[in-house]
Amino acid sequence: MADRAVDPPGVPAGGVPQGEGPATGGPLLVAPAGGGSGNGVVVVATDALLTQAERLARLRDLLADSVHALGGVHVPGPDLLAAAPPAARQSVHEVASARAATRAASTAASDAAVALREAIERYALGEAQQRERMILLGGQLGTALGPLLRDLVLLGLPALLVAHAAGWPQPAQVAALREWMLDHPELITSPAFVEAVRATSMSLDETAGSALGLPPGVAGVVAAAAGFTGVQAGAAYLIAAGRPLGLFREGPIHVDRVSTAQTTSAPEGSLERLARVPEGDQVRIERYDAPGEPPRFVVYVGPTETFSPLATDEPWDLTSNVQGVAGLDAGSLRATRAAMIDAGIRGTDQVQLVGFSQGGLVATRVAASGEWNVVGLETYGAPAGGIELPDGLAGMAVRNTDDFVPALAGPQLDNHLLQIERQAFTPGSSIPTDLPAPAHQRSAYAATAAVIDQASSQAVREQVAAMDAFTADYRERDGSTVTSMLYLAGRGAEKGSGPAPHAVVSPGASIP
Amino acid sequence: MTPDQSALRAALERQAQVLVPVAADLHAAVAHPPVAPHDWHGPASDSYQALERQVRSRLISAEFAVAAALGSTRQALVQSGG
Repeated sequence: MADRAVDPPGVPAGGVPQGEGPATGGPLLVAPAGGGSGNGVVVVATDALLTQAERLARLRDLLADSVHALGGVHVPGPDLLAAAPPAARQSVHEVASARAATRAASTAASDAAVALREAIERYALGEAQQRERMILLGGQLGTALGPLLRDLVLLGLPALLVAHAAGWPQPAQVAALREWMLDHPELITSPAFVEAVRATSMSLDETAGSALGLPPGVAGVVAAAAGFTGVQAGAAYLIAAGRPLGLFREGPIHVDRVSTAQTTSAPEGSLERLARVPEGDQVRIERYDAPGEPPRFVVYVGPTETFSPLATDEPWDLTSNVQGVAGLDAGSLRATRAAMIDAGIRGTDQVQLVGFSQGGLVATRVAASGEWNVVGLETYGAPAGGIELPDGLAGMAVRNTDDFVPALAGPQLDNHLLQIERQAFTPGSSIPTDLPAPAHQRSAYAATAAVIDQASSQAVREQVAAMDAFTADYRERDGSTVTSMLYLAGRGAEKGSGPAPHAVVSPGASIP
Repeated sequence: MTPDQSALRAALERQAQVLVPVAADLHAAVAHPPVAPHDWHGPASDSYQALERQVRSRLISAEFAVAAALGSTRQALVQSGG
C-alpha cells in the first residue's frame, strides 16, 4: 500500500477554465426533491424564481403574523377614552386602519404567491408535456423506421465490408471527420439535440422490435418479461445486438488500491466536490474519523475513460455504460463496490457518493441498491434518470441541458433527489472546439457547479449545506483525520502489479 | 394619576408593545420588497408583476398605517402623563 501525504485536488485557479463559466451558460433550473405540487406536477423553476417564491412565502407568513398580532390589540374602551387625550382616540381609529391595511397587504401577498406557484406549475407542466410528446413521437418513428433500418443494414452491410476491406475509411478520413465534428460542436450541443437523443433512447426497443418484424409494443412486452423496463429495454436490445459482434461483453474485473494518503481538508461546495472526482484512477474514497464516532465515507466515482464498444482492460467504458443503463452488473459498478468494501465501509456506516458522467450512474446505482447506508448523493451529467432512489437523500443530480449523455438514459423519472439543470452554452456564446461533447466536459460542469454554489434559493442552498456538513461536521472536531484512498480497476482477473489490496469480482458474484 | 388614567396608560402601553415589532417587521419588508427575476418574460411574468406591484403598494400602505397608529399611541402616552 502506497502511503503518501498529498492534498486533494483543488479547484482550478479562478474556479472554472477560461472561456467557460457562469457567464456563458443559462440560469439554474431547479426541481426540489419530491417537489410535487399536489397535482402530480414536478415543480421546476429557475433558481431566481424559486428564490422569489420563497421570499414571497416568507412575506405572506410575516403579514399573516402581523394581522394576527394586530388582531390581539385591546384598544382602550369607551369608558377610558371618554376623558382621554385626543391622540388616544385617534390611535384607536388608526389601529383599526392598520389592521385593515395589513390584512389587505397579506391578501395581496397570498394572491401573488399563489399566482407565482401556478405560473411555475404551468411552466413545469408545459415542459413535461413537450417531453412526453417527443418520446411518443420517437416511439412512433422507431416503429415506422424499423423495417427501413433493417433493410439498410442488410443491404449496406456487404457494401461496408467491401469498403472496409478496400481500406475505407482511411485514417486521414477518420481524422478529417473528427476534426469536422470538433469544428461544429453546435450540432450536438443544444437542448433540441438532447431531446432527440432522449426520444431515441426511449424508442430503441420499439425500433429493434420493428426491425425484427414484431408488431408495435411487442418488443417492450418481451423486454419487460425479461425484467427490462423503459430505457433499460433499449439498452438490453443494444447488448443483444452487439453480442454476435463481441460488443458490450462483461467479464471479471480486478481492483487495486493504488494510494492511501492523509488529507487536510473537507470539500466545501459543489465545485470542490466535483474537483475531487478522480480521472484516470476511477474511485477515490475519503474516510472521515472523529474521536468517539463511527467513520463516515465519501466515495467519488470517475467518468467514462474509453468509448470503445469492445471491452478491453478498462472497466469505465461503453460496455459498463450500456450494462449500467440496462440495470445489469456493470464492471464499473462491481469495481466501485469492491473498492468500498476494501476501504472498510460497513453496511451501517454513513456514506456520501459523488460521481461524474458514468461515475454518476454508478453512484446512483449504489445509492439505489439499498446495500449501503447512503445519506448523500451528488451527480454530474449522469445517465441515470430512470433509477428510483430512496427517500431522504441529501444532494442533487446536475445536468447540462445541452449535454446529450444524461439523455441516453431517457427522461428523468425519479424525483427523490433535488434536480438541477442548466444550459452550459446559451445561444450566441462561444462553444469550445478542442474537445468532443463540450457540454459534457468536466469544465462545463465545473461552471455549473460554480453557479450552484452561488445559488440563492433555499431549495439549492439547503442541499449544498447538507452535503458540506456531512464532512465538515467531523473535520472541524479536535483529533479528526481524513484518509484518502485511490483505486484503479481493470478488466480481467490477472494479478495487480502493486502491493495494494486486490480483489477480483465476476459478473453476478456477490461481494464478500 | 386617577385609576382611569392608570388603566388608560396600561392599555396604551400594551397597544404600543404589539405595534412596535409589527412596525419593525413591515419597515424591513418594505426595504426588501419582492422583485421578480429580471430574466423572466412573457404573459405569466406580466400578470405576476401586476400582482407584485399591488403587493408593494399595499405593503407600503400597511407600513404607513401601523407607523401612524404607533405614533398616535406614543403621543397619547405622552399626553396621558408619560
